[in-house]
Amino acid sequence: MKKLLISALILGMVVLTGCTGDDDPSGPGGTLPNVQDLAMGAASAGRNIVLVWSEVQNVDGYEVYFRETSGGTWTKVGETANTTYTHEATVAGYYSVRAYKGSNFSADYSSTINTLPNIINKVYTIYDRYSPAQKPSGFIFDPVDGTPGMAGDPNFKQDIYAWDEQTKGDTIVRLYSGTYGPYGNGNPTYMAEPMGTSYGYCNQYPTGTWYENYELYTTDRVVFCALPFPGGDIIYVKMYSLNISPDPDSPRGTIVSFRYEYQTLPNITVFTSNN
Amino acid sequence: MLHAILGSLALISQPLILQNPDTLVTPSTGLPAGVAGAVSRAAALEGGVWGIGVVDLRSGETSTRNASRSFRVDVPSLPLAACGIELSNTGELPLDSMIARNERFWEKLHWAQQGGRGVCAAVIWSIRETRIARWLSERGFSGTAVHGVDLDLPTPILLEPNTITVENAISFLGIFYGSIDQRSVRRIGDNPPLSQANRETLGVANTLYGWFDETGSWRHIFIIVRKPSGEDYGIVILTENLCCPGKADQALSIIWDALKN
Repeated sequence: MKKLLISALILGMVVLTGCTGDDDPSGPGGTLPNVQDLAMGAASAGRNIVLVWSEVQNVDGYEVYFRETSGGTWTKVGETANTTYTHEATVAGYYSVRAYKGSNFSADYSSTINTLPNIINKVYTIYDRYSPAQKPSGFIFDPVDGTPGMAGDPNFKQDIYAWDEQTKGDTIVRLYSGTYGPYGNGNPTYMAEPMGTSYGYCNQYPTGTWYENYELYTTDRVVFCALPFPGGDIIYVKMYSLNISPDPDSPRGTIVSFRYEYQTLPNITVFTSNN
Repeated sequence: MLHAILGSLALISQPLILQNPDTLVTPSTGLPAGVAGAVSRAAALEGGVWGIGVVDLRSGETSTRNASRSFRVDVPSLPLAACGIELSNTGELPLDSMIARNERFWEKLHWAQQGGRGVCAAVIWSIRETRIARWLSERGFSGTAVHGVDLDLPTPILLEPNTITVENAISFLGIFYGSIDQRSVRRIGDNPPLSQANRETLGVANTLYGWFDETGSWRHIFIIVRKPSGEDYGIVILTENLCCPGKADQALSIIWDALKN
């Protein structure tokens, strides 16, 4: 009897998983052909994710599904009779599409695509100008691993660096663009605040307010960065887990530590909800 | 020597904006008779090299000594304020625009006026040094140069010296005065960081806007005084090789004695 109950429980869980979908869903159980060639359209920009796919003959339309994580629950975000759909995303994630005709569906979900950034799971530390001189103030973002370095070194082309505009306070610090201020020999970076507690996306530069000179507060957890590249594309980075603290090695020095996410899709501004 | 009328200002190449629209209805009587002598006495003080200027901001009448001599400036907040006001008036960089997170342009100009070296440097970086140089050139302020602010860096950056002249400083005060009807402009020059001695000299009844620049070698004072009786004056005291800071205060006192009544 006990064995039977456990078996029933497992069966129930399998059925539930099948209903909500996963990375390799067992399928919605219909008999229509699956949607093929799901891709992100070239018109995607900011948090408007344009999905395109190949037509399935003799169907009424398509349902578009989204989920934040590979093991998360699929949520239907839209329906269309066309072979393209634009999702205004508030967070990065996975997409899948299935066709429908009446109450019949594709036999399976399409293959998935995702808008996830590279999550660089590492804490980086930079220091303002009042910390000891050998401590790095500059930082270069990279899709795989960032590089702290000496912003005052003309050979180090920083994206941002920590700077104290004032002469007092051990938690007063700013982030300067690599092309701004005394160490302006680096690369341009524009910084923006998160919109409320939405950490999953930012505006597309220059929409909204972006700064080359960004004062950090000890309450800050997230800063969005726009990195213009030659040719006109902009890569977006989200600094998160920010922590601003006094440098014990200096009476006025300040430590800025953070992690970051690097959105490798040019001009796309969605990230995870990490903060 | 007293330049008797506004027309003489035309001899100075810098254009001036010296009329306050709020007070156009009252004809100006110009500078008081004793100002020329006061300027001469101040410029003759021992213990330093002097550049002295006084302007009746409503008529444009000026009295100056060493008007075109360039003096070094440590924190060039006055030319930056004038440049910022003109860039704002043309719409290029409005004073209310956010040039840093949660900081408007006029706020940065004000904190520079208060003596913030890092803030003044940030204003230069935000406007761009080349844009400031172009503005100075286009407006004919050839005796003024703005290159930056010496900062406490591990590896000091060598800067070309900043400079200013009496005649340019009078024009900068005129630019400020010409837009004084704007609240953000008034805020830039508000609460001037004057010494206690200067404040006692100028009294509490007058409205003051001003800038101040001091090192071990000089003390420069730039003030607009708006008297309750309706007169509006600009005073410029530039110094070099100053024996003691109190000498500059003494020069201001001499000038003010000639203006206050």
